[in-house]
Amino acid sequence: METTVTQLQMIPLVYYIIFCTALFTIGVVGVLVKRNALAIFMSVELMLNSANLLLAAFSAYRNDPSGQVFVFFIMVVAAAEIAIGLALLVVVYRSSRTIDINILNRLKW
Amino acid sequence: MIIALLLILPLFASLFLFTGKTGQQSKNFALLASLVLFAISLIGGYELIVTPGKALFSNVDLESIFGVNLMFKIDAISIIFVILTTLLVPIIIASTDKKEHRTPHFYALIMLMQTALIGVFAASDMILFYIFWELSLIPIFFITARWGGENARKISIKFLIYTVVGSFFMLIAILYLYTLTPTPHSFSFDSFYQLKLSYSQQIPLFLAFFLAFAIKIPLFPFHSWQVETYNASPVQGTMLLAGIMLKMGLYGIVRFLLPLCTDVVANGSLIFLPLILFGVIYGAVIAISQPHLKKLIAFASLSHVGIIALGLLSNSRYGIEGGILQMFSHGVNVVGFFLCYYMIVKRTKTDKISELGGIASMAPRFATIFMIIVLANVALPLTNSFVGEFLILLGLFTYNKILAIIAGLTIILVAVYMLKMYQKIMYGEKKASTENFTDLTFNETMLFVPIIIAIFAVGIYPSFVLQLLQGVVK
Amino acid sequence: MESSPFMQSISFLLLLFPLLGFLAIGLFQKELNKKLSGIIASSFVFLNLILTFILFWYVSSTNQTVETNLFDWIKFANISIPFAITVDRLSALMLLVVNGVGFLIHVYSIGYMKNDEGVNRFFSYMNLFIFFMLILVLSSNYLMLFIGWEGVGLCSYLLIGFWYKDHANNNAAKKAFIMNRIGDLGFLIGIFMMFHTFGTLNISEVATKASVMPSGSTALLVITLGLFAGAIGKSAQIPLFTWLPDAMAGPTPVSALIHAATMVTAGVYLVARSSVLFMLSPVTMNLILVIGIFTALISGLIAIYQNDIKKILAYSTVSQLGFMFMALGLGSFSGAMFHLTTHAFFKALLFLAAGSVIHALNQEQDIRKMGGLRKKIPFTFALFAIGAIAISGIPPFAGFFSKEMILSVAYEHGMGMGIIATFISLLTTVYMFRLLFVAFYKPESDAVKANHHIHESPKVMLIPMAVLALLAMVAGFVQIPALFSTNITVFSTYLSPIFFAAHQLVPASGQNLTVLTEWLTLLIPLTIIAALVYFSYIRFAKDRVPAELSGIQKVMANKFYVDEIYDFFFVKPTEKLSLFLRETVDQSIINRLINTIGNSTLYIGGRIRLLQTGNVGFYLIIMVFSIIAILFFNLIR
Repeated sequence: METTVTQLQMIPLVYYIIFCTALFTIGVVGVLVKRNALAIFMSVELMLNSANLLLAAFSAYRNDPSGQVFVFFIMVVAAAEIAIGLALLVVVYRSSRTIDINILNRLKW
Repeated sequence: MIIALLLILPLFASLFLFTGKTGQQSKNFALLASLVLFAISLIGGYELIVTPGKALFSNVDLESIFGVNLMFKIDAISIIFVILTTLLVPIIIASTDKKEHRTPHFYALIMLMQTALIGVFAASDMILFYIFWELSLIPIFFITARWGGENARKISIKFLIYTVVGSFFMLIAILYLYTLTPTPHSFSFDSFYQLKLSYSQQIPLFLAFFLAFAIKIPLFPFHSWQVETYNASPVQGTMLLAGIMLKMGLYGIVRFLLPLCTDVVANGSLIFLPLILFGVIYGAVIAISQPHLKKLIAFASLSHVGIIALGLLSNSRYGIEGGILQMFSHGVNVVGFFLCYYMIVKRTKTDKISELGGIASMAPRFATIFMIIVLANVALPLTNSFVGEFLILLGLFTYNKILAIIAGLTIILVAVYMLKMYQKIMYGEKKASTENFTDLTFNETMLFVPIIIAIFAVGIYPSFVLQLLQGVVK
Repeated sequence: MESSPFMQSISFLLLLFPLLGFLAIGLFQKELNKKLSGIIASSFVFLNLILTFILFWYVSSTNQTVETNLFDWIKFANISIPFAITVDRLSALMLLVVNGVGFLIHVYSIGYMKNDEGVNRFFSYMNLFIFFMLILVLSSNYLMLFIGWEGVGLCSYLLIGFWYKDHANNNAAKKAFIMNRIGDLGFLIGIFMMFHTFGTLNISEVATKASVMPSGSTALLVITLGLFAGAIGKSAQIPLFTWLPDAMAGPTPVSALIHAATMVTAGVYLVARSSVLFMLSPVTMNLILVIGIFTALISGLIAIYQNDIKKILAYSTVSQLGFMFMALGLGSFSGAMFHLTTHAFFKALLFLAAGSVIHALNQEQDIRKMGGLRKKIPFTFALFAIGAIAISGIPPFAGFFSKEMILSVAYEHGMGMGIIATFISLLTTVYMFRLLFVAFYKPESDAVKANHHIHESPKVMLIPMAVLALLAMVAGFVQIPALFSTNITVFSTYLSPIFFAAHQLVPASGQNLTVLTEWLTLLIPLTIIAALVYFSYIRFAKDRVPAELSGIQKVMANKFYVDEIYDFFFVKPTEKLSLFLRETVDQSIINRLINTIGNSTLYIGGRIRLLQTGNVGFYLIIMVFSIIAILFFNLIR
């Protein structure tokens, strides 16, 4: 355990930050440009995971395990959310034969 | 005991009436209940007269269960309004005509209204006061919306929103006062009265209360709901509104503004009295050219209650006592006036003054009664309004002479529009719509009897009301 | 000094009887036999008259006042206004006039109103009027006086508009009531100021407290101006005089009782009653003098050019009232009261005689359509002539003495004032004899020739007139001008205790005239009167076509266009203002403003709703940019 932490700390923190930012930005752009609901979900996951990674990194650097605990929490909640979200998508697809968000716009004013 | 009866009886009567079957039975039941209430309130009044300065208390201690203490208190001021309510409600109930086909719900709502009104006048706790204050809106809203005339729904919604906006400001003021009371905080009137409010605290309080009451009364320029609602509401609803409900606002002035915001009332009168005065003249001038009888009464009422507000805020004992007396008189007179209106509309199906005429020769009894009510509105000496208006103007005069003289103009204007209206409706040759005008039946005449008795009793011997108030008005 | 209980109960009964009469006739209007109501009403007034004699005898022989406290009307804090009645010499005199003339007119009305379907209503109103008039006269405080004051106004309203099917009558009634109300506002303000200054409204207490105040103080000025404003309204003085001629729309007995003998003199009574206050306010006294003179002049001039028999008498009443106010303004309270009394007799007589003429001619009131009535209805003619002679101030009838009393005061005040006063009294001769000659002497007009039903009135109408004529002839002898005898001053002696306090305040300033001047001021006017009568006879009694009116005459015939001026300056603008407030301010501004608040809430809601497009991509973009914006703002803050 000690060694892993030491190994992690060998890479400068700024690398993690740059990497996570890039990953997060890819997720954001994915959310914004994709029309397929499934792809949006995946992009959201990407954002979540980039945040997770950053949490883990900071946790390692500060020698504070609570960050990693948070990561587990987030993963569990995200899994639950995905389960519901996918289920909804399946239902939507069954009823309207599409998961294109530009077509799914009936819930308005 | 009396207070409990006064509140519970109409409430149960109302609940019972919601299950009623035929309109006629329900009417009889409601009439009976309201007459019993009248008798009870008279007993209460008698108790207060024999021991001056006494007040009836009722305390329902629910501290352990809900953490509130329901406090009721009827003192000399309250009893006047309670009696006004219980006097007018039987007349209002009895005034419905067989042909109108009112369902039992109609009477149930009137009884509910009565509960709320008595509650407002008897409450001695701000939260109770507020609850009853808002409760009174519900029945009148449904009465107007369900049985009203043209556009009734739209107008009743406007009325509801308008008055609720006003009460909202009152709620803020109440909560503000609550935070000022020493811990443990309390909503009771007494704890509020004991507060020593600074001038800067009084100003926002005054504004909030004044706005709430000004909408309710209504005072110019917050009156635009009044004419429409009076016009749209069935006549019983209008009587409830004009006769009793708008006294709630004036009662609020007596209960809260005068004792709590003494400094603002004393110093700021020259700012808001002219505004009210403008409304008084404004209503009277509009009434001169108003072509519809019901709207004319509405504007006349606007002018009359403005005078009462002037008296209450005039900073003098004469004005306040005169104002309270005049509130009672106005309630009686305006209900009498609407009854006359109802008798005319029932027979002719129109309230356009230009289409009426020549009724006096066909219905002498009605003409006499109508004349008495018109004269009471004109505030002729020996009718009830005279003493009140005299004291109000006297109070105003001791405060500011110019204002009193301008306010005095109304005694001319009121004669102008009242006599003009009476002449056009009752005198002259008969018109097509009044061709078959029949005189009042016995039952209809009986409706007017208590009103006329009240007009002359208060006009000839107002002392007992004034002396009743003596201990209370400080 | 305790008043005797017997007298107290009598003074109370005075109020009770007419009220009973009113209630009895008023409540049983439908059931009561039409012949009976007049008898009931008259007998109640007759009972009052008997009581009045007793009271009059009592106060004039013992010089005591009878005070009766009935009950507390308004009483709390430091206000105490009881319902109390006071009979002193002044009110006893008024009682005599009201009940005496009132009784005669009631009797006359039995005949006059016989065929009217509303006769029961008529008599109930008449009794109500007596009731309120007595409250006015008997009250011991100003607020109670105000009850009577407004009450007689109400009766006047009801009786002017008695024939309510014709809107012309109703308009006249309404006009009377509203013009009176304008004066009443002044009266009320006077009462307020009085209470404010003295803390009481009791008439004698006010007088006592006022008598120690300095002359001409502002408070007294306001009080007296207020009271005088009330008097202007009630007694039809300039500028509120136009209602009285219109009030002739009522039945003639009403014009005689209310609009000639009693109610309209209430203003004079009020000023006389408050003599102390007025004496201490010289500005008001001068105003009264000026208004009195102008009213007497203008209405006298108008009267000359009127053609309606009742309108002539009405303007004559206004003019005579102006004459009384002039006397008041000169400080001659007893002179004004004396003229009030004699005027009540002969003016009531003239009206009743005019009523008899109208009755005979089937409601014809235009004097141009009369003529030659001297032979057709000789009794009426004789009675009318007595009235005309009395009012013109021809000795030895009553008018001569009362006018002489006022004129002598005027001459003492100054020669100019005396000449003005004489001129006013000469106007009377002109219009009265014009009326007399045109209606009774001129050759019969076509209308009279065509009318074969002209008949003398029944005895029930003639006898009251005869009694009044007798009074008009002899009533003057109680006060004979000092020139003839200094001993007979029954009237001024009788009233001197009342006005004693007032006269004490101001030292008598009038210069005494020489005997020669006095004779001249007496004889010259009499000569002119004789000349005027002669010229009127030449001018009006002959069958001459009336000349075209020109210039100033036209203005006078049209009553100086006062009604039109009021209409233009007050009535029309008020109506316009009313319409403007109702249509523009209330509907277009205030109501629209409130509705706009409501509608704009709805409108904004409707607009904002459109943001909810349903497009998830749009939501996401907004969300992302909002988050970026929030983070950015947090960064730079």
